[in-house]
Amino acid sequence: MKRIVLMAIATILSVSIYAQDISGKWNGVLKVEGTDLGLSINITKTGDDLSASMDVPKQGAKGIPVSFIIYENSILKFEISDADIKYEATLDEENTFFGTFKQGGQSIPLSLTKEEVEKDNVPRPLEIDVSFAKIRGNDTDDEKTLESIVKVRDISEQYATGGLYLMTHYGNLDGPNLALL
Amino acid sequence: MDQTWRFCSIFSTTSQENGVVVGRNWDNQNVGSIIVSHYEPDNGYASVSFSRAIDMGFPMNVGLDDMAKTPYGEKLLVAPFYAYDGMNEHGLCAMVTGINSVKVSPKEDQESLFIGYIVRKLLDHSKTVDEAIMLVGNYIPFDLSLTQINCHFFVSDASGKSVILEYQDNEWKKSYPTKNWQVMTNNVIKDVPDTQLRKKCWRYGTISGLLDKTNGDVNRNEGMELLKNVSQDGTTWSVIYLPNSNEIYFSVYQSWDKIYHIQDL
Repeated sequence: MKRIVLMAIATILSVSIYAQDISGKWNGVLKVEGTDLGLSINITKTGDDLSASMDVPKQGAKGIPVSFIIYENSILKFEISDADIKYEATLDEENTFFGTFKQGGQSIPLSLTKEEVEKDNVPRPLEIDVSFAKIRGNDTDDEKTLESIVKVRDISEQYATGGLYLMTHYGNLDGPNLALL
Repeated sequence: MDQTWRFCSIFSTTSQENGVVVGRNWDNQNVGSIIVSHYEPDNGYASVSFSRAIDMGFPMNVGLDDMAKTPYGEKLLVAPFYAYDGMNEHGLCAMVTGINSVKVSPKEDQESLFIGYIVRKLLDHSKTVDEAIMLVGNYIPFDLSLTQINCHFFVSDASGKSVILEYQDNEWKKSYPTKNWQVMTNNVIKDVPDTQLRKKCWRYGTISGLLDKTNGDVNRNEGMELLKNVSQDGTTWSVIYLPNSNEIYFSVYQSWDKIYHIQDL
């Protein structure tokens, strides 16, 4: 009995996906040679026919015509013949296409969703504001002053012991006095 | 290259989000402490520059804060003159990367200057690339000895203009970008086709390839990611200079998840 119920649910889901209208804007991020390239596919349905175009905002490309597109049994296929691009993906229950983007012999995984993808997809690291002690003390007679030295962090022994230091200098320094070194 | 440790990478481009973006990896080995200097000369522009403690004679395993209190600490006064890259208050960026050794002939009527001192002169006294070109013409550069130089110079300004300066045949040679960005790694640029440079150095090719794809539109965060992509075991500091907002973002020893931020030079 339990198996019958599960089969019934699966059948309903399948019909639901199959019947879904996929027209609209689908967004994804193509990871190419270490960089993230956001793109959008704009799909239009006219009667039973689909047409589409692609935008790649970072490359200033908008409305690149898709030369072939078909959506059957939850599988989307499209091609942009001028750019030697082919894409094939399957729509899942959460309304995301999972598939492969092919261009010039390269195959890259690409998911498309209707959610807007943020322009900048490079994860933001922790940013730490550091500042120099820019309060000038009394000048020494020869105008050479090292006003402050602040250790920001130790450096791992994996490389070399030492640290990262911020220093503030004022006045007209003489430059390297090689005899000093 | 016969000096395989000289692995630095530099680029300059213009982004929609951050304006001019200048990136640099300093790649080397066992440099010990890193010094980031803010220097305000009385007769020049304020700037921030990066140096290595070992160049001032400090061993790798000493704490500079302790050394500053001793007579030995006087050496720290010259930190701004051992500048390998930096940016001044006008957004002028100056930096060096290593190349194979080039012979230099000192002249009696022209001053010979250590490469770090030339970077210092540029930061102190140049607002633009054109001013920088005029200024270096006064000097003969040297590196390991007075008769040789092992690096070339990259200069860019807040307008986005950049130039690569190389001292060859006892004169300064200039190479300007052919696109709206410019890349420099460790091969001589002057009169070498871009296609050849891309083949010679994978870092040059990687940076150029990405800038091609994005038409140079790489913001500061993407710029740091690009530096990460071309980093190597010896990458010691990675810095993004933003001349239009007078900000600097940098990481040390490939700690990509922790970026330091300096603003208001």
